[in-house]
Amino acid sequence: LTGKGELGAREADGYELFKSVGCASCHQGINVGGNLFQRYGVMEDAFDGRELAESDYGRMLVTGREEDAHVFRVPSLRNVALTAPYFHDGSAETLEAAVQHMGRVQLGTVLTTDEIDAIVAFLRTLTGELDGKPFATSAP
Amino acid sequence: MTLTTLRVVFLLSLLGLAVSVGILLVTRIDHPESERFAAALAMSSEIDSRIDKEVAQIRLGRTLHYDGLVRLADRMAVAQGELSRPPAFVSGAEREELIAALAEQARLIEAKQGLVEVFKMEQAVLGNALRAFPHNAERLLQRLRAEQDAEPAVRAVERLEHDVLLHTQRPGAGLAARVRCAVAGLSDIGLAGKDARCEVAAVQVPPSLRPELDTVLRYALVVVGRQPRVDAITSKLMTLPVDAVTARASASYARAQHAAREHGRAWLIWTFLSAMTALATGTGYIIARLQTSARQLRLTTARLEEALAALRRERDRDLEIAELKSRFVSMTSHEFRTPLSVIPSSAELVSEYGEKWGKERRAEHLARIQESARNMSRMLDGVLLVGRAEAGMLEARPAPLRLGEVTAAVLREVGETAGPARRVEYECQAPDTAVWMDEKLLRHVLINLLSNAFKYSPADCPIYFGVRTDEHSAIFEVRDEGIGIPEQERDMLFEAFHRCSNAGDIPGTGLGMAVVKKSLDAHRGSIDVESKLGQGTRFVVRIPFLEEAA
Repeated sequence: LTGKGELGAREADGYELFKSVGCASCHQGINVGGNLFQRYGVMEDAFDGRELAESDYGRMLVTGREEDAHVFRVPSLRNVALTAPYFHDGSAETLEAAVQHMGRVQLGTVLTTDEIDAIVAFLRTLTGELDGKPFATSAP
Repeated sequence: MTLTTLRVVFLLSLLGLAVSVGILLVTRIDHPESERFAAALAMSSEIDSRIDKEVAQIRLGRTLHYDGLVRLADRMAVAQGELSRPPAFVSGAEREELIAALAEQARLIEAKQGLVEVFKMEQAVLGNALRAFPHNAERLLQRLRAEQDAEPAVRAVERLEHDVLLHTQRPGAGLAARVRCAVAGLSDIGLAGKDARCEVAAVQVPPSLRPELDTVLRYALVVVGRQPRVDAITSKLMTLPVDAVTARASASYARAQHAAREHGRAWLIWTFLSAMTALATGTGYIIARLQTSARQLRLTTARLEEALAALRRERDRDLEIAELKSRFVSMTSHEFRTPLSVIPSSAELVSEYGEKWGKERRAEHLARIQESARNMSRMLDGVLLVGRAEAGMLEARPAPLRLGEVTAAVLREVGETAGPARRVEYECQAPDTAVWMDEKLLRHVLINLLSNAFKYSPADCPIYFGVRTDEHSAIFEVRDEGIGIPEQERDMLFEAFHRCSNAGDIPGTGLGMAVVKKSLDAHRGSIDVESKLGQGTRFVVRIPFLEEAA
C-alpha cells in the first residue's frame, strides 16, 4: 500500500488504527483513495447544521440525480500533508481536525487525541517525491 | 470478329476491370480494422465478466480495494471507443442491426457502471460496519461487564450483537425490525427513530460508555439498513444482460463480415472475368493487327518483286535494243557499203566510157546499179519490218486471196533472181477457193525462205517447195540440200543481223529469218526447222487462215 520504506513505531500504530477504525474502507487502493465516490456524512450530518452552499451538493451538480446529493469523490491521501486546508470547502485547517471530523461523521467514532496523532503521523508518511524532488506545499 | 469490335470489347472490358477493382478497393475488408473491432467486441464481453468477478470478490471481502474495478472501467471505456466506429465494410441492413445492438450494449454497460459506482459507495460503508461492529460490540461488552448494575445493558447489547450477526447470514425484515427496536431501547438520542411497534423499555447505560455504545448502535443500523440494499445492487448489476447483447452484436458483426466477404467474392469474379476478357481481346487485337500487317507486307513484297521483274525486263529490252542497234550499225555499214560503192563506180564507168563500150557492157553495168539499188531497198524493207515488229506495230491485215496464185508468183519472182539454171520441185495442193490471209506477210515469209534455199545450196542441187492446206491453215514446206545450220546456232536463227558461222562469203544481211519470224508472229503462224550440217535444211511453216474480223 505504501511502497518501500519502513514505518516507525508510531506511524505503524497509526497505520493499524487507519485500518481498524475504518478509514481504509474508502481510502484504499494504490492511491489510498481516489477510486470511488462516497456520501459526506455517512453517520452524522457533516455540516453540523450550518447553512448549505451550492458546492455542498457535490456530485449531484454533475449528474443531476438527487441520490447524488452530498456525494463526493473520496480523495487520495497521497501527499495529503501538503494539501491543507481540507475538504471541498476547506473547513479543516489541519490534518488533525480533518481526521477527527472524518472519524465522527463518516465512521461514527469519537477518536482520542492520541489516536488522531498516530493516524496523522501515518498520513505524513504518504508524502512522496517526484523525479527525486519533494513536492511544494500548498499551505502558506 | 473485326478489329473495331475487338477494340471496343477490349476497351469495355478494361473499363469493367477498372470499375470492379475500384469497388473491391472501396468495399474490401480492412483486416487490421476488422480484427481490432472483433477483438474489442470480445474484450468488452471479457471485461464485463471480470467486473462481475471483481464485485463478487469485494463482496466476499477477498479484495479490499477498488483499483481493479477502476482499471476494468477504464479498459471498458477503451473497448467502447473502438466499438463506436464499426468498420467501413459493414453496410446496409447489417450496419443498422450492428449499430442498434452496440447502442443497446453501450446503454447496458453505462447502467452497469452506474450500479458499480453505487455498489462501491454502499459496500465501503457496509463492509466497514460488518468488520467494525463485532469488534466494537465485544469491547463494549467487556467494559459493561466491569461496571456495576449494568446487567440489563449487557444482556441488551448481547441480544443486539446476536441479532445483527444473525442478520448478516439470514437477512430478513423481522430480524431487521428487532434490531431497530433494540437500538431504540439502548439509544438516548433516538438513533433508530420512533417506532410504535417497538415495546422495549429503555435500558440504563453508564454515561462513560455512551459514546462507544452509540458507535456500536450506528454500525448495527448500518448493517441491517444497507445489507439488503447492497445485495439488491449486486444482483441487479450481475444480472444485466450485457453478455447476451454483446453476443447479439458479435453475431450481427459475423453476418456483416460474411455478407462483405460474399460481396467481395462476387466482385472478385467480375474482376477476374473482365481481366480475362481484356487479356483475350487485347491479344486477339494484337494478333489480328500483326496478321494484317503481315498480309500487307507480303502484298508489298510481291508488288516490289513485280516491279523489280518489270525493271529487269525493261533493262533486258534496253540491252537487246542497244545490241540490236550496234549490230545494225556494223551490219549496215558493211552491207550498205557494197552497193553504195558499186553504184557510183558503175555509174562513173558508164558515164566515162559509155560511148566507147558496146551495148552489152553498158547494160551489164546498168544492171549492177539496178541490182545494188534493189538490194539496198530490200534491206531497208527488212530493217523497217523488223523495227516495226519490235515496236509492236506489225499487224496482219487479212484479205481474201488464192494461195496457188501467190505461191506461183513468189516462186517466179525468186526464180528470176536466182537464175534460170536452178531447179525447183514445186508441189501445190492448194484449193482454188480464196482464203483470208495477209498477202504481204505471206510473201515476206515465202520469199525469204525460198531465196535462202537458193542462196545456201549448190547451184546444181534442186530445192523443194510444197504447199498444202488443212481445215484452218496453210502448210508450206521448203527443203534444200545446202550447207545446213549448225546445231548450236539454232537458237540464234531468228535474231536480226545474226548470220551463221558457216555462211562464209555468201552475201546476206542477217535480216531474212528475222523477217520470217516477225511476219509469222504477226500472223500467229509457226515454223519448224530440221537441219543437218552439210546435208540440207527443211522448214515447215504453218500459217492459220484469219477470219475477216481478225
